[in-house]
Amino acid sequence: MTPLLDVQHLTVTFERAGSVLTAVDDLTLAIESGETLGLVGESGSGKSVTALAILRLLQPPGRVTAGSVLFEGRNLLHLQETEMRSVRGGRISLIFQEPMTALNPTMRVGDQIAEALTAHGIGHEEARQRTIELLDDVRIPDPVRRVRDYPHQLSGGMRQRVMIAIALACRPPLVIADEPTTALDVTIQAQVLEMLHELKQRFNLALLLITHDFGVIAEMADRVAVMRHGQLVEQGPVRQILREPTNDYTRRLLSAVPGMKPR
Amino acid sequence: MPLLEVRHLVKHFSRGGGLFAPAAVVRAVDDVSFVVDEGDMFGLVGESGSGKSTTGRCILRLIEPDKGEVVFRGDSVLQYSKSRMRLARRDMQIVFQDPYSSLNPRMRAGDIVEEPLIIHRLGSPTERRDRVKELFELVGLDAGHLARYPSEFSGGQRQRIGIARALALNPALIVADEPVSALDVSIQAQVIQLLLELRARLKLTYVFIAHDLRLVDHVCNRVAVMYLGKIVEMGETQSLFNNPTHPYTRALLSAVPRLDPDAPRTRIEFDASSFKRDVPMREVGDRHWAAV
Repeated sequence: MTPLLDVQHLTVTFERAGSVLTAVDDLTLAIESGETLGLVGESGSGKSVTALAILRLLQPPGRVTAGSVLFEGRNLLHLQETEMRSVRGGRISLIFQEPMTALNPTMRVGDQIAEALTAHGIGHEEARQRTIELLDDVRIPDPVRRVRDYPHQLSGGMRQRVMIAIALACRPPLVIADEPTTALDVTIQAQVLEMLHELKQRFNLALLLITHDFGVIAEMADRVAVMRHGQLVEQGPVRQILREPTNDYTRRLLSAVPGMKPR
Repeated sequence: MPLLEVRHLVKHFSRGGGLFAPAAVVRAVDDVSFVVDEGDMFGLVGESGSGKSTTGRCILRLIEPDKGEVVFRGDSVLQYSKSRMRLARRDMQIVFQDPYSSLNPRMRAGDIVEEPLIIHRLGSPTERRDRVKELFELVGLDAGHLARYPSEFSGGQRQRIGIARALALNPALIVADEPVSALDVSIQAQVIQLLLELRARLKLTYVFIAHDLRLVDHVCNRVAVMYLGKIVEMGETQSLFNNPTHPYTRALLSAVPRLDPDAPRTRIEFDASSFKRDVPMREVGDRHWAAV
């Protein structure tokens, strides 16, 4: 079976003042439909750049210099920008870390969710209906009233739920979540992860989960890929990586995690 | 005699109160009491808005508390005059969370570490320089890098500069406010290791403010859990983490992701509306108290 997303030999460089930095170096990874792949690494490892490269959202001077991104039988790197626009949000959506900066502060949250639908050709009346359903899906209480709220009227956890509602609006088969719970308190993080898990199963979503937190990986991922300095150092099933990592760097990273003492 | 005693500390902030809205009072710290013994690594944990940082700052009078007492070596710190307080700060120092914004970017690393010595008029210029070198080596920095600017150091190294600055005056107590939260995990582990080594070598006492319970479990011998300005539970780390008694502590602990994918997950939800502010602490175990 061909995987849903098949990234091959992806290389991204940033060229500035004559020096070239290779942010992603010959990265190959795949995600099956319905699967959660955890992409772990420390800052500067290239994990976020990978996400942006897949969606072709890299800002210059960053650019893809080699490789392919096969998704649903097409190489995304070869699509027209107009085709790419229907992929973004329609087939692959992105959840960012900071819901406050990712949402438009001057727009009601309901309108922001509806926009994600109408941008992909859904009529206004239907979009309004679906918006309320979506807020309900992400367990925002009293969605009929909440659609009229502005982002600043919501708590951090609620904002992240709105972000997830936007990401799920068009029922994409793949969601890329870049540190989706890093800015949240631990009790809110647990709620959001639990909800993501449930929505994933309900809609058979594949998830590329980018995080630095092995705890989040243990809770969510089926498989794990570990990145360092732009390169993939190890990948495998979550239990194998957490229990018997073969790579030295993975081992060091895991031993640095202050796990709760077993009780 | 305990090194530090915080008694009935209160700090309220009012916010809003503009043209359209009446002022709302935020009870950031609401009748907080605890005791820190010499050599303790005392963890103050809570989520955002719990009042843990405000409590830390009130201890050093970086924020003036509204009410209560802070007793350091038997002396009431809040009664101190400005000049007496300055003297007291030699003994009580703070390490901040963000090594990017807490160091002056236009000062050289050596000058940053030397500054407290100049302010307190300690030593001759040569003596101060020697002390700065000694401090650099103490925190694992290269004394050859004294003339560099903060931007030339990595995040972990910058936090070491912040620690060296805090140690310059030989303090007895360090309030470490999320000292490793901004760092990558492998760097976190190194900085934590350094803090623990320094504690043993210099006989330091820490108030360690953190949101990461895994970290607290790892490094603190005693811990107080804060929620909305209140300490809801306090005790030896082992006892408190083994037998969490307050419903909020239970919910908090159950929310921490486990490293084992097969660990049983029993999430406990805390109903915020059930929280009663005025429940007194009672002993629920050996040196273990909870507001239940």
